[in-house]
Amino acid sequence: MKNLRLKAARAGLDLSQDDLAKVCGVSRQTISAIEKGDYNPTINLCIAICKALNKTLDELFWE
Amino acid sequence: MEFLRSSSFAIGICIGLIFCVIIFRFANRNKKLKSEYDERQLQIRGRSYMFAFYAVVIYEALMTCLSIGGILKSLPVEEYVFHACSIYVGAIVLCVHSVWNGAYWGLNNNIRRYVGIFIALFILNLFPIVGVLANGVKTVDGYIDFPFINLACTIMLVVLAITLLIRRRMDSKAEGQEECL
Repeated sequence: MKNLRLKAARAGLDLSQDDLAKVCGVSRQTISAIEKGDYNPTINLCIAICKALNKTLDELFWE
Repeated sequence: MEFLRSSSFAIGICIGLIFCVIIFRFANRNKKLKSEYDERQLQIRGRSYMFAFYAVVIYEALMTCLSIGGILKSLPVEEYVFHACSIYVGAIVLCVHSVWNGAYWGLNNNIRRYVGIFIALFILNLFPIVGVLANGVKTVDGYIDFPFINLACTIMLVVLAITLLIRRRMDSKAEGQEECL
């Protein structure tokens, strides 16, 4: 399932996938895979993404 | 004579390993020997290693069957070449699977330096092949005197380069679409 909330939050901060990937210490393909719903990130990566986007886990990853 | 030959092979492998350590330290941005990968890449690479292991096992089992059947001995190529090729079979499966699934560049890799190393390796392996082809292929003790291992390495590098190019093209297309959204 696509994670459109993550995509929207990233776009809201005017960040590219590459920018977000650098902040979180992962590859751009990983961010792309999470947004597409092809990859389920670990809780550590979820937290890193939330911190980078100033969002909570609920806002980005809870259904 | 055989001992001297195997010793020279072992020395060559040791020197190659030392060069690898130096080259990979130079190729990584943070001067670390190991490439660093994120969690998704590590997961994919784990699967790639599994497939590479299966590929080597299947290849070696096949070579053992051919060896027992006397087929390898009947060929004009020395038997060790077939076993050495198992390294390249494993490397091709590992690299192609990880490249195809987007786990190719580590987080600390300097891509330009890696491409430079690949090109240098390709040229270094091409030299003995071109040399033999230029002087004409000879037969020594019933075996074709040809650098088959260099040929296998060259083929591996070509396969890897083609896979990288296709994947890079696909990735840049996806990135372009992403920027448009």
